[in-house]
Amino acid sequence: MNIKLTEQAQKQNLGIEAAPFLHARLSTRAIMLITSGALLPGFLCLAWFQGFGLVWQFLICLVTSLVCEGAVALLRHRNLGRALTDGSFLVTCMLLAMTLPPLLPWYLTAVTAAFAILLVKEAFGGLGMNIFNPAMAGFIFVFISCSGFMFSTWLSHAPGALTAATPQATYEVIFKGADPLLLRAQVRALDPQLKDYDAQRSGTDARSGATAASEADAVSGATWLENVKAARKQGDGALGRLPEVTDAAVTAYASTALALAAGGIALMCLHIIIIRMVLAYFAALLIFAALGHYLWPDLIMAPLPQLLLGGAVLAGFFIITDPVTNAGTSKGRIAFAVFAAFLIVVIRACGSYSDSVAFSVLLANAAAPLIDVLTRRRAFGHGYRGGELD
Amino acid sequence: MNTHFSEAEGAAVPAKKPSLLRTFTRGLWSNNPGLCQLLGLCPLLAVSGNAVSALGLGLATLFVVCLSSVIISLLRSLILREVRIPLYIVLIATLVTVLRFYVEAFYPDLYDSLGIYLSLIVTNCIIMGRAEAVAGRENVLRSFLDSAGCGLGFALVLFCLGSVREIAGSGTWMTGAGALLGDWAAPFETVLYSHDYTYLIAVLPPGGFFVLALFIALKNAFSIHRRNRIENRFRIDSVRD
Repeated sequence: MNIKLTEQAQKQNLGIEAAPFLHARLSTRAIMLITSGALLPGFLCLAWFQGFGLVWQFLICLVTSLVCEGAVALLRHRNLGRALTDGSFLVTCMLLAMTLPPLLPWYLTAVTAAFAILLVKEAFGGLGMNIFNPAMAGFIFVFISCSGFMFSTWLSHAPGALTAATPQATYEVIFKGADPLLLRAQVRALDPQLKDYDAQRSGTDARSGATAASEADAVSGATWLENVKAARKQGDGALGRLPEVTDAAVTAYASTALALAAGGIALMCLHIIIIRMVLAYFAALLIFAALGHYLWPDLIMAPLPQLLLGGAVLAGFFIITDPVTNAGTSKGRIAFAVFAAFLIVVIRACGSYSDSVAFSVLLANAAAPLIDVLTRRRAFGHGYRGGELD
Repeated sequence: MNTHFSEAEGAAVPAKKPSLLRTFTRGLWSNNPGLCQLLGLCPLLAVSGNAVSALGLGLATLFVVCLSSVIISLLRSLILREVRIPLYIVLIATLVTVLRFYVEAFYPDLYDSLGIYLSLIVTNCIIMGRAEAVAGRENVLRSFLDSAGCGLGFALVLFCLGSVREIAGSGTWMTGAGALLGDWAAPFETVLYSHDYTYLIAVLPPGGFFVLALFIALKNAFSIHRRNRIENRFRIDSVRD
């Protein structure tokens, strides 16, 4: 066996790659850094509406992924420096921090990040080889594993949540295991309409904090999509009398979406993400939602809430455009985007979890190889109908 | 990979039978049905949600594979080659039916928790594979040792898989051992940590695939460790990425 191996080693052509020699305009590291930069406005915006917990989540993810990437590089005898500076895990960490609940206990965040990096990315061969989007797969992992935590540690969007969810307060909850209920009540109280609602519900002053919030949670779920799902389950034409999204929450969702869109448009201008894919995604999402809402108003939300609530905008600009996990052909990418949008609308209406973006993205990722095969381009000189070359 | 090479080389060099010990240990490690042959995956993934039912199914499979191998090996001169598969199936199905009645009578809780997978041992490829590959050709001792190794290897993998999934998914180990396996097993029931730290996904179907994949990776890492070390010595620094 030893002799065979030496021969194989000699055939490794001394580091010279075979043709074709292609020149990339941007290195992978540059692309990843620019993408992280483009995520930054959305990240800061969300941090303003959801508190400092986001930053802690990002730091936990970052440390975990650095450790994991380093360990994998050592195990694989790869260059440690290059593995730790390629920046792809930076994007994964930012996406995870933006999708995970801001007050998730640190050990769950760490396990999520480790799962995303080790099992979803590195087990398939590392950067560029993964089938599934690491951030979304990690999110689903923790979502299915500990759905109780996902809802009890979620912060509703409220203007200026950063002033209530200060670094110190969120640190206590995330690392020391303090009860998140009080902090959640404080953040909820920042939203005037929710404050009135809580006060009405408990029949007492809203300042009695935790009890008011816990009772309010019994009727209004952690996220607005959760409320929508609950209303749909109650049936009797429920989407007509949905729990209305408060004005403050609308502002929060809309401005986050705008901030994300700003980053996404910057990426489009730099030709890092594919414009037609993003356009196809949003057009398909709106069309499917409008059509569905027209046909089954009880089941499917109107287009605008579909777009703003949950992670639809984030997915459109930053997740489905991941060059590794989407389809490989031009037509295929459009089909991929449309398929993902379709799944988002359908799973939101029929799924058992409140938001569907992560599930849709993973299903679309799984379908990407098939899409590639179905949209394969005709080789030159082959396949003419009635021609002699076929 | 390793086993493919060794089998191919074994085919080229004629007729040197492995030793009896090797016949036994092959099924435990180098040709393990759960980790290497990847046979019997359906029960392996479906029943391994907790350690006790995994152990129950593992023992049942071990029993059936050993007994069927011995019987087939005894009858091998009487079995016509053309109809051997139906005959094997009849034999195995008989054994499984006997076992099923036994479990139903004496361990009703285990019977409930295994459900249809107990009857499905009939179609388990491990048993058919052993009958076809070894028991129909070799003498009784050799086929018994071979099938005992395979069955034991399968039961061990099943038990480890069940343990890991149960510990990660519900924070306990061997729950229901007393009820399912009899009073002797009751002291093994342990609660390791609270539900706050468990990962439900481990006991759900995807968890079975994750844990099995990790087991296979670990096994491969062990068995090709030496080869990897040699390979890495020949790597060229400039091609490292």
